[in-house]
Amino acid sequence: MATLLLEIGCEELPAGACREAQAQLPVLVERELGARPDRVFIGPRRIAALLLEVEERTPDEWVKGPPEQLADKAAAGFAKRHGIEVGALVAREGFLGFERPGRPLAEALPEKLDAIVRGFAFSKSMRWDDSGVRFSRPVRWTLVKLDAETVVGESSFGHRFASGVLEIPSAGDYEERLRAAEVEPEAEERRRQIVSGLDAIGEWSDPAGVLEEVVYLVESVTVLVGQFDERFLQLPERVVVTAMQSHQRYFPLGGNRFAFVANGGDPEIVRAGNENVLEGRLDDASFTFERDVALGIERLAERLGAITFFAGAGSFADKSERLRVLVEKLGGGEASLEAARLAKADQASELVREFPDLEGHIGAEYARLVGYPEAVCAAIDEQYLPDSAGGPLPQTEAGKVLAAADKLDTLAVSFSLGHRPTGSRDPYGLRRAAIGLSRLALEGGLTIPRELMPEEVREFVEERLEGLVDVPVEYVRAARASAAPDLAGVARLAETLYEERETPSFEGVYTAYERANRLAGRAADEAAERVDRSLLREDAERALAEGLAGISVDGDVRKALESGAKLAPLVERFFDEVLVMDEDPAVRANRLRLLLDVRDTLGRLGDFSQIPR
Amino acid sequence: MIRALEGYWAAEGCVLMQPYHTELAAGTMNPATFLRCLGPKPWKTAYVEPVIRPLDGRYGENPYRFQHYFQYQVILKPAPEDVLDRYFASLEAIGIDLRRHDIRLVEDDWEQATLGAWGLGWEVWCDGMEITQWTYFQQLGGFDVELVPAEMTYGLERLGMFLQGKSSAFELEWAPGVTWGGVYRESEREWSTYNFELAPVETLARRFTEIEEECRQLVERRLPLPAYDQVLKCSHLLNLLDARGALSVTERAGYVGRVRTLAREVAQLYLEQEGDGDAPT
Repeated sequence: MATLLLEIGCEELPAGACREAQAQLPVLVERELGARPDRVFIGPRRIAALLLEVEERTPDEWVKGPPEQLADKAAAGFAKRHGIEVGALVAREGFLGFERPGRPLAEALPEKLDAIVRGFAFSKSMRWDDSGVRFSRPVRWTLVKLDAETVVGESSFGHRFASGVLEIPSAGDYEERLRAAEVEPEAEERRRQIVSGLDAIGEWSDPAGVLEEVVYLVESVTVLVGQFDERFLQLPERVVVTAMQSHQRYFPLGGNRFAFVANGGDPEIVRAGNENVLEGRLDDASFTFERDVALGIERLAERLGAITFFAGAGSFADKSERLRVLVEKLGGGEASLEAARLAKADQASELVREFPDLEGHIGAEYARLVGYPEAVCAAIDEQYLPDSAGGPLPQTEAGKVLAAADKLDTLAVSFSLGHRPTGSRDPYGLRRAAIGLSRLALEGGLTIPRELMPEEVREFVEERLEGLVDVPVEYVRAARASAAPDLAGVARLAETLYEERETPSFEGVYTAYERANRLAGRAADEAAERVDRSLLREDAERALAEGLAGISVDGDVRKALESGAKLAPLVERFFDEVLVMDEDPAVRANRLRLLLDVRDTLGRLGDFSQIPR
Repeated sequence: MIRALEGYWAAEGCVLMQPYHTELAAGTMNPATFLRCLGPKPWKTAYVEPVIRPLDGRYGENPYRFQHYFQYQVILKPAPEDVLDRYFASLEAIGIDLRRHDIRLVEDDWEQATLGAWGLGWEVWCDGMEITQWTYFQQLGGFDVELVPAEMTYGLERLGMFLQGKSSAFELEWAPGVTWGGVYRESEREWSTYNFELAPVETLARRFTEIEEECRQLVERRLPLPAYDQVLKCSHLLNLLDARGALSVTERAGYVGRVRTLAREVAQLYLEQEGDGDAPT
């Protein structure tokens, strides 16, 4: 038994590639060497695996050739390919082949390492020479040590600037030698060092989740604290946080302080440099901010006519006007109307061009600066929520209304221009908008009339709704065909139908609907335009017509089911006593219409044919 | 600093080129990079390139944004194995002590839609400041590169500010007793006025179409070098139209597509001539 080290030395790998390597390396090692590594080391400049106990010979291997019955044709070629005599082939389980004896592991390792290197599948890869190898970044050295024997390569490398060529006397010394050369090879340990360094400073935050990237941006961890001039605190806080996190991968500490992780260097020099860089960025943002503020949100809003919202769908001024109309139809109050007027003003601001992720928020801050009521500002802030499938909803009523109006408009415009999501492609985020709209109705309690959506949009939104209501999908489909006037109403109806599915009243409505639909649904073309009472000849059909006139299926669903269920015995009697397909075409047409009226009246509670029995 | 870079890369065997004679939005667009990186011939070059980006002008008010600034561009084709070490040595040559500063390579993949070009690489950070854009080209003009070149683009104002400890480019000492602002600030103000307010939209759009046509004719006459200049001119006209706010998102995409098509045609012609042995050597 021996200890085996495999190291692939790279130019600086992106964090995403490191995570892919972390997942793939154990699988590749197992495929090539028959065992999972005991330790895995992933960092920006190296991907390495350590196996503590490996056999020093590869196992014997049965090499399978052609089937025995094809021996005449294929045996010679097979033997030649493998460099053995035909006579040396033996038969096993119907196939010719031979036992290839194991060989020293050291002899096999170069090709196994090569197979591992070539086995990685990165989501983005490149080539850098004519070897044909594709990797996330160029591979610059490889090292394989079997105990003290160097099988591939010569040496490793320590920290890029603080160290250099690094001799690894024996595979087992790898970690220790690297640590002495300013490299912490293990990602988990680097993460621990960063977190404990940050904890030691005090309160820190990481809203954008840069920690996962920083772990793979350094080989050696030094946590440092910096600060910036307090005058930049006049900027919207999220602008400052975004400048720190998305551009610089810093951790905000609150106020004008921040923490960051260096990979080396003189701490005082590195701190001063990073402070300068952040101040430069904030200074730049301040220039932009002050220009916007000097104009003010009203002037920004006036400029929206010159900015295209969507080719074919007019300017942002047009969009604002459509939002106002939608907000009114959604029953929004004063605050939401005012918010709709100002909602898109920040699209004309320079700061949003620099910080596109902060659209909405920047407009809200500008509205606050000139003293708009908080309800208006909050609504502007919340207009894009929820911005992910499970993301938080707007908290204010005006915010909910504006957020719904924005999504309704985006969906209507996109669909009318033919930008329907296809497969996994959804460049305008329409699925997210439809799910957001459904959640605003279901969780946000907002009444979103279905008639506000064009047919295609309504179908698309309600298909998303099917996945959000916690009942079998057939009940939602049934409810979608009902007369429920708004999205939440569809969901509530689906839930009630499901809860009531075993009650006598549900059973009654279901049966009456099904029987009427089964017979008359197919012959709808032949039905009269309306029921003519004078053509009702039989008692049973008159009773059904009277019963139908006496039921009410609007309002509370349970009561509606009870009322509708009264038709069940009347429908049953009708089918027992009346022959629908009368010889007289007028009578026949009249009876078909009566049944269709039964179906359509009950159908206001949903399309029961969707529900399997 | 520029002399130190010139000296270092000349010693590395680079041909020292001079800035190109028409507006470029990046040193990459200089034919010494874009065309010479195509095809099978090795090539090493280094040069200063003034880059013109109308949209980035701020009337000389903002000390971080300019419509005209300088890049130092280095191409090593093919990229030698120790290319990163050579690059780091160039930083030492301009006075950056690699042990005292925190030098980092942060993933940054490069793509330029108008040239049908992309590559993988990094932005190089020095104490958190981006000082170089570093790229291994993979495609140019829509064609896979045959020998993978390494491109190093140093931001000269940033690097200068860093070395001189200045927080504003205007205060950068450009020559003894002369600041960068003293030389270029007025030009920022005037050009921003032209780019954002005065550039004649209809004339620019017409000129774009004319030059596009001229490029096609030059391609037919199999003259890739003059044809490529027309691509550069179209690209600059597109940037001016963009700065004037004259393009909707779809219109802009249309113009980008037209430039990309030209770039591909020129690249293809250049590659064919390389194959014939007619290309400049």
